[in-house]
Amino acid sequence: MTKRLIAFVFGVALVVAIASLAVGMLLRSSRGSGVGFFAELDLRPLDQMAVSHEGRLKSYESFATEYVGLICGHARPGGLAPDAMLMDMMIRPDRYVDADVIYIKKKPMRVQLAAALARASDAGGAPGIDDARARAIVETGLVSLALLADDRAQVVLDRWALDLVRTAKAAGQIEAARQLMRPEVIADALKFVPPPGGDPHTPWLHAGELFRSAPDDARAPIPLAQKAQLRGSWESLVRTWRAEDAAGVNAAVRDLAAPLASMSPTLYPSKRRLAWESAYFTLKHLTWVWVCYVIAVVFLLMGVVYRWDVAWAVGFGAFLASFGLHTCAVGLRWWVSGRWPNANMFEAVTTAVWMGALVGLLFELLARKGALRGVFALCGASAGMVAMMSAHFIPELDGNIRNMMPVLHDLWLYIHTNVIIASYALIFMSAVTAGLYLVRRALGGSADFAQAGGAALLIDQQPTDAAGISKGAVLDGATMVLIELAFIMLWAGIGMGAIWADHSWGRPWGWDPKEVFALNTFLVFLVLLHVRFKVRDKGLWTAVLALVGCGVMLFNWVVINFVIAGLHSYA
Amino acid sequence: MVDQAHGQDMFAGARSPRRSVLDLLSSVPLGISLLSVLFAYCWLGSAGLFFPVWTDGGLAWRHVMVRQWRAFELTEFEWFHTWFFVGLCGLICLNMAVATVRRIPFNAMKAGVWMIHSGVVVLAIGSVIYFATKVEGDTPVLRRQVVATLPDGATVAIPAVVGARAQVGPYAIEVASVQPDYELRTTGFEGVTDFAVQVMVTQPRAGAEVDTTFIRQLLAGHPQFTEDVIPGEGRVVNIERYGGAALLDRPITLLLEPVPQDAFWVKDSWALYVREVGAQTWTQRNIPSGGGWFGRGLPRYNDSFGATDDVWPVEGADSSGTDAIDLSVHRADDALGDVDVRVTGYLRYGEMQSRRVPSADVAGSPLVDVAMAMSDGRVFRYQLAAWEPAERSQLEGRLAFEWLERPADLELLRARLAPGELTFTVLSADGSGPYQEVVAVLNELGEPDGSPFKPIGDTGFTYRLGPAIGGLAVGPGQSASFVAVELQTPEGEVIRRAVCSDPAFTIDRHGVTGGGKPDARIVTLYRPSGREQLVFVAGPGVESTASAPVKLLWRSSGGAVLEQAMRAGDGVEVQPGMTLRLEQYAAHSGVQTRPMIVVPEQRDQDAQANHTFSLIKVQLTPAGGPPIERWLPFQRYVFDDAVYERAGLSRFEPARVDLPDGRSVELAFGRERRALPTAVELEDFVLTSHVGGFTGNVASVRDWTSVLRSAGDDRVVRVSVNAPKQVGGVWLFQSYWDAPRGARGAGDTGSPGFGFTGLGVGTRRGVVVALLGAGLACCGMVYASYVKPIVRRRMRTGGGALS
Repeated sequence: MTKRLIAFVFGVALVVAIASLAVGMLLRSSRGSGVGFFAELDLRPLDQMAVSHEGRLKSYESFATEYVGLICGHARPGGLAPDAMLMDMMIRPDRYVDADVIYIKKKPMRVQLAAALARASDAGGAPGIDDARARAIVETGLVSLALLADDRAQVVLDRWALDLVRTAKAAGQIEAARQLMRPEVIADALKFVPPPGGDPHTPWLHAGELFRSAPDDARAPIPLAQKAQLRGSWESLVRTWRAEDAAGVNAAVRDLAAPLASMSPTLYPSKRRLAWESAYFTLKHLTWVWVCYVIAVVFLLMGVVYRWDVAWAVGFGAFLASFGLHTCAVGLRWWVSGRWPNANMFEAVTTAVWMGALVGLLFELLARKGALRGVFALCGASAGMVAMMSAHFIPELDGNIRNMMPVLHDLWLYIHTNVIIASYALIFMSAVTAGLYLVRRALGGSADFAQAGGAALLIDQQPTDAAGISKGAVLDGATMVLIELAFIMLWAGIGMGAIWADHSWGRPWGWDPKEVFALNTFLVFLVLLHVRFKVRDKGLWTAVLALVGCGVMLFNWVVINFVIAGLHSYA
Repeated sequence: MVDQAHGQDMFAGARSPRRSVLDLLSSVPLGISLLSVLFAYCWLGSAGLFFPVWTDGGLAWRHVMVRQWRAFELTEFEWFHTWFFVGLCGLICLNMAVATVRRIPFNAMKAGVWMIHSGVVVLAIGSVIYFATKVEGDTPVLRRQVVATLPDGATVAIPAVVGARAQVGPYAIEVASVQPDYELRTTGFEGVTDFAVQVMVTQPRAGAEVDTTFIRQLLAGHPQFTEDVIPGEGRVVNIERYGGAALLDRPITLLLEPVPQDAFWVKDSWALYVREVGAQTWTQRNIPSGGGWFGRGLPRYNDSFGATDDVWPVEGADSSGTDAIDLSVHRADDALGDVDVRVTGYLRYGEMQSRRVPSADVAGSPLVDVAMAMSDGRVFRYQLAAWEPAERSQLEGRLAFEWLERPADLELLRARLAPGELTFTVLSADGSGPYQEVVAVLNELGEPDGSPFKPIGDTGFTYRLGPAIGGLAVGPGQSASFVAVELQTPEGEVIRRAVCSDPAFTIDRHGVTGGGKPDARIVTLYRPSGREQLVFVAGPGVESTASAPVKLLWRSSGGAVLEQAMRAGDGVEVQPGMTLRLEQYAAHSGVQTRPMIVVPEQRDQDAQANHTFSLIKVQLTPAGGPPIERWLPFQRYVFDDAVYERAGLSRFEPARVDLPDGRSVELAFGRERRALPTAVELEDFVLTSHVGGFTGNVASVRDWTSVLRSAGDDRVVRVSVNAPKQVGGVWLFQSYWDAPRGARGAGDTGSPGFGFTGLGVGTRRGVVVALLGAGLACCGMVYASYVKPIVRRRMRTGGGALS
């Protein structure tokens, strides 16, 4: 018992140590990023400055991350943090004319652009870019304003704009990035001055509006002294930034951010909320928790395969700690966004798997003394690892916090969507045990299966069962426990979706691709349950169909969402 | 589900055909097979097929929608309502019901399975009711109309859409502008906003007073603040001679009233609309939908037209012609009741385009089709008609086709093609004769930045040429050409001079500010070249042969005027990397209008899904007359008047057909229109925004609400997102709204928005039954999975005997 406790604490400590390391590295890289002037900057006061952007009050860090992301994608040219880069782009735009900062997502498009720029110009015979630059464009996807303004690039951009199926959207994003880099556009978007009076529907002001407004302007009834103070701080910021006077910038930033909250105390978000929002973005949405889940998966796998208690204890400790961090990520996002995070793909993936991991944890606690020990924790950790890796590495899973579409403002978003995505997480988890079962069979394992199906296995289990139940039966039983719950939740979720669709779109069922594939996923498990009655090799068929069901679920979530348009495409 | 433990047949006995059938219908493998077929069918209909293909860029996935193939031509709804699908679902229900009755005992332990299977059957019954009676569509409801009334009772109503106009008695009224968020400044109403409409009223009478035209401002929610404005003078209330009255004393009453909407348009339907020219309302002929091999309706996804010359050929699009369709669209009681009307063609995505083709009509203009090929692969095509001023040139006049009657005209053209000249005349300080130098202006863009200054003889002045531009307005009806030149004086000062073809407008700019008279020491004169750079010529004034009837004259990059006789198919490299090819020449041509198929990659996906650019070809065959054919573009809503197009709701492009018997009719192609059970009016439209107000971006919108009045029971209902309301037996839900938009191009001023709301219309009979079934099945699943094991364990431990 003591050995297990020590192992458990070790697992927790391992994850805490990794998390501490990650937090420390991210905080260090976000402060004093770059070299010289940028290394001496301290923009922390801006973390508590709110910016009104598309219906949300964001922290400056959050705003800058989203804004710079629209230009640079996930790349960080020059190692600059988004907050510093955005300010620099606005104040010293000339530095960015030749800098490779505009991101092109699709690799074939990068290749086409690089090839066009590498050719000598017909008109005037201007030489093409050298091989190294062309390679850099293809590899990083980053190009400069100057290169995009080149006639050769313009020809390519024009051609892309005409292909509405394949390239026009990406060409539009490039054009949008060019516009977003204009200093006046950045300044206009930076609405950081709250309207006095506290009316939530009154637009916030950007610096230009504030300084241009007459003293009696109804939109900007700000006391002259306060206006003068803000103006002074703003001009000082611009002046010192241009002069690369880091100390002056740091002082100007402090002076600029300090009085803003007092201008509209009822409207202004709390400093704590803004600071945590900034921290959430600085810490990269905590998606690096996947590393912690990896630790848990490795030890839990050893625990399950070798029935090694110590490994299980380490893995369970690591899983518990990883799940704690995952909970922090979901909870922090919930708090700073002001709503339960399940309104876009990033949130759906991370929240769904958090719910799946929670179920895995509860089942693990139920099964901790039986033959199924370690299996549910392993499933939860595996799902958490894959989901957080996806959120971390796939750019399409945009982690920025935005408002929900009007149609999502409904109670059923919280009921239907959560039930459905939780069932998807369970389906994925069942595929983990099904996959292990198949691996075991491939390695010569016997055709065992659980005699009791689903929850009955948990309910009927005895502490003494552990020694008598084969690993095949354990894996098959765990698969059935998870599938059974997923099956019911999926059916209930589809029904709840029909209720929501009925009062939102005026029809409960419209044969939308997402609806049909939720039904198709259900059909696979329906077939699985009935096949299990008829076949002899129940374990094999269950595992195969569980994997097929998981494939259909992933097809629904990925291909249907991104390839086939439908009413659900925003989710 | 089937119970293994109790799997014995409760109807056991001698085998008979009836029993064999029952065995089959209660077979679990049959159920599994049917579910597998259902899975495959759903997959095919919803996602289609994905398969890998090898392309230049490597391995790629290709996606095809099976239900959209020419063989099927089915929407999602139609795919899931075929006889096959309905039969499959019916068979599954039958299999489930028979298997349940025959194989599963009806007891507490099996209650879960019974609940699940019963629930599914109830769900199926509800679905049959729902889908059999389902009607789905949408309708726009305009916010307000302007109702003008005269004392004699004459009344006219026009929608409150900018540009809507009408005549009522002697008055012409026109909606001049709409302000959806007009802010009141009247004491007590500060900060209140209202929907405001400014109506221009004109009284065109002989000897009219100066205030014959006035603008009346109407407020939707505050009629007491209606007031008149006289253009150029301001609000009437402020004009002394009207003694403080808000309104001019005119016998016309203008009111802003809601617009009753009594119809909706059915989703995924087709209809042909017919009316006599001059008639206000349309009559409707429904066109059956669902083409393909198994249907007899109009296709949706694949082009169908008989002959290749029905459409303009387009590179990259399949214009080869396909199976023709022939759908009779008959109705006896409308303006074309005695005419055979057929739909004979369909295009999914096309645009009507007028082009010239060779013609035997000697009055038709000579024609050249030209292709300009760039070295980077781009090809631009132009059509030039020498006798038509508007079609004679392209590229702002640089590319032209001229018909020359006399050889002297060719000489004049050569002179126009010669490069422009800039003459420097430097006056010497010592009284010796002036020095003159003439330089050619070869490049409109000027010399590259950083080019060295060139000396002007030994005068000490140097110059560098800048860009040249022609056709700049310098006065009323007066234009001139300019060339920029930088002059460096012997003292080292750089003067930037804009040299005008009219010396009176030549100015100097010293440093960065100011402009003034040119430095008198150096006089500059500019003779611009003609606008043309590439000119095709033909006609009696051109020496040509039958084999090369056209000549191309162009100015080379070195300034020389070059010439080349050409025939169709010939090409000339007129500049490095630019080849001009004569694709067709015709001595005479005429204009034809046909649809052009838009190549797939240039199609807007939303527009394609909504059939925004679909067209049908209609053939009218009057009794005893020849067939008349017209292509009709799809209109989302077929309104009575073109003014609705201005609201941004739908295009309005009816085709006019003159019949041999003298009648003229209009035809339009749209969706089927049906009556609403009761008309609805839009009382108000409320947009709720997030913090910071509405920014124009959808992300800042929290919700929108249409405040509707039902004409049937005079009830006010609020329909907002996620909150539909039942009105007269149908459900109305918030579908879309009139979002503000900027100008889309020349001539478009954009829209302030908020002029209408878009409501979805639907029926939902059977929904409650279906949901009850789903709920029952769900309860059964919970019971079977979680309650039953507990019960069974208790029975085991307690020795109970539920069976």
